[in-house]
Amino acid sequence: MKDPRKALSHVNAVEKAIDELSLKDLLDLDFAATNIAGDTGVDPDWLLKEATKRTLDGRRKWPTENEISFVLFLQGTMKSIKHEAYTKQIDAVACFQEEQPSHSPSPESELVKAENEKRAKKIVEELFDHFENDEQVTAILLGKADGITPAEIRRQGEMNKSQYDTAIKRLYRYKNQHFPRGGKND
Amino acid sequence: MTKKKFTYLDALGNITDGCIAHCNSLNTEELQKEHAAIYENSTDRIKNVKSILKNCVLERKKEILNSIDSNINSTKKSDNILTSIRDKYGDLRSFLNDKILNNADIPGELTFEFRNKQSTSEEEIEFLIEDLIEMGALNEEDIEN
Repeated sequence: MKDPRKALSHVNAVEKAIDELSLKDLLDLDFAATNIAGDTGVDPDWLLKEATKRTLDGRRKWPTENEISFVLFLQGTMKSIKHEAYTKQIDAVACFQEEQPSHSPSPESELVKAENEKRAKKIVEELFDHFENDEQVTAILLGKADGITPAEIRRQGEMNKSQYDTAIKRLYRYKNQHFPRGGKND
Repeated sequence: MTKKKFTYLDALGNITDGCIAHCNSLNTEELQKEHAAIYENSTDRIKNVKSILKNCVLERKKEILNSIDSNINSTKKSDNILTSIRDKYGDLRSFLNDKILNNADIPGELTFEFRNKQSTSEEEIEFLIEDLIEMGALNEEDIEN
């Protein structure tokens, strides 16, 4: 955003959205930052700051006039930055899980990715081990690993919504308490 | 179509997405309860989130104001040069003919359009001079000499 007047107007729009954030919005952002950062061991404060900076300077375009909430937008931006952080693809804008066939990863990025994969493997395996006697959480873990929807997980695990909600609560409480904030600033 | 290779990072990402989506669906009271159950310093963390967001806004505003300052300085510089040109040459057109089109130090491609033009407005010459100043191809010494 080269024109300073346009840039300032954009910053004012983002500032207004920040001023209007409710307690729930702030809780959602903290929860998302901590969980997304925890997957790769980056610092959640750094992640939130980086996502906000990119939104403010226009590297990530938040369409202020449409229906994407600022909170959901920042959560998506944090996921995208996490993807960069674990593949070391600086400024890549691909969404989480998106394949980038045109990008040739450097040996360094392959190394970082391998380290993060090792860390993720340890966490996922520990989750499966801890919940081995909890059929409902195991069904969620298996379903998430396969990338299926919550509705499908509920169907396969024979859970109603309330059972699913309680099970996922057990999962994220354990995950957050046992695999807390990372400390790595990339 | 090739199937995407399964990775633990993807699986962990999906698990995390599921947890976040669930928390997004909770109401404030439920979420506050969950947040406090997971984190000891829940209230401080919320203040910290707000402070991170507000600090980013302040930093960005400072960057923009610095950029405006630098634009103002650059405009002042080109205004001064345009005034000097008018004082010395009477108008910008004379300066264009005497000092720009015949200046071997200024790359021809920058002035090509003006060499072939039948008529050029004062404003177009002003833009050309400002561009040349911005690119460093023209400075105050060129006017004096």
